[in-house]
Amino acid sequence: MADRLNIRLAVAAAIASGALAFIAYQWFTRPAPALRASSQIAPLPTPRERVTPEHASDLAERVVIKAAKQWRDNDITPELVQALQIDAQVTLVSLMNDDFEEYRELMASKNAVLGERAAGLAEHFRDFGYKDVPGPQWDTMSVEERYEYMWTHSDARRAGWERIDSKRTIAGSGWYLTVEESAKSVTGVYTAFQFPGFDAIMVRAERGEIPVAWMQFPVQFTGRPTTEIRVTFVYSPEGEQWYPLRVETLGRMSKPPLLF
Amino acid sequence: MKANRVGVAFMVLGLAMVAVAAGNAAITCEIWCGNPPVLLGSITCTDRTYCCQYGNCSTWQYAGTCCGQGQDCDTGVDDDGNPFANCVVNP
Repeated sequence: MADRLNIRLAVAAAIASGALAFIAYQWFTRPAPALRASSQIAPLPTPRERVTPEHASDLAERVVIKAAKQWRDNDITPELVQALQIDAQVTLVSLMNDDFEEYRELMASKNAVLGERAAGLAEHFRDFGYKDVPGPQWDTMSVEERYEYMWTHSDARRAGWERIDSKRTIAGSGWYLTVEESAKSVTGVYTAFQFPGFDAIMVRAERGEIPVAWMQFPVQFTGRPTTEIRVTFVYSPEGEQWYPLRVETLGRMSKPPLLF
Repeated sequence: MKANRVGVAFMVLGLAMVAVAAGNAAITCEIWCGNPPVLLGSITCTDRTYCCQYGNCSTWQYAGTCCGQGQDCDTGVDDDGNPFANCVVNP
């Protein structure tokens, strides 16, 4: 009797282990996400909110209000969230409207100035979107003038903002972006502005020693499919300031080269 | 006796699953710029994929993705001046 019971138990265990092995095999041999063709990734719907100079401020406010609640949920203090809301809104409006003046004023209030990265970007984009600017005109421009020219002529890079979807804003904290979050692919650029203690702040931000906050939402840029962008800020406890850190475009769709 | 064999089979199965899982461990790849070095871009790849990254320390632009086995990593700058990191099928 006991032998029969043991045999039944052994058979049941063998079936169970076979099933487990089958499930494990299926799990570990499923197609890797990165192997899926880009055509299999559903395109994002076209955002409904059209970006115009008149509406940019309202749109930015909608994004930032949605982000603020999520920042508070991510343990960023209400005081820091309040300060970040102001900076984030100015930054977004400046990006949407190609308004460099407002952005420069924001950065000047933080003692941030255009640095080596701005010179590198100006040199880089001279060979792409800005070939048609007459040589003498370009050559006589300072780095700041070149950067301003590129910022205010985003269409030349096919980086003009057409539409956004503020309702789909997500926000969070932390330096790192996972592959899953990035929709399998990420492209980004750091701020071209050099602010006090930049290198140390970057190192501490990456280590998670100081607050880092981001907001993300769908954007359709001129002549391109909808993509997600993530805008990240870092807080300096010494300077008691938030600083724009970087902007990233997520997903495998055609992406615009952004400035920040 | 038979029950012991089943126990051993379970143990072997468990070890095999651990081994398979270990083979799929995540790996984080990083690009550093500047002196002192600052992390420009990082990407974490899992699930039998490897890191495919591009970084430019003059412009601080970067791109990253994860490619599967049998795919090549193609990086560079596209016609708009935007960096890219794409996986292409290895013919």
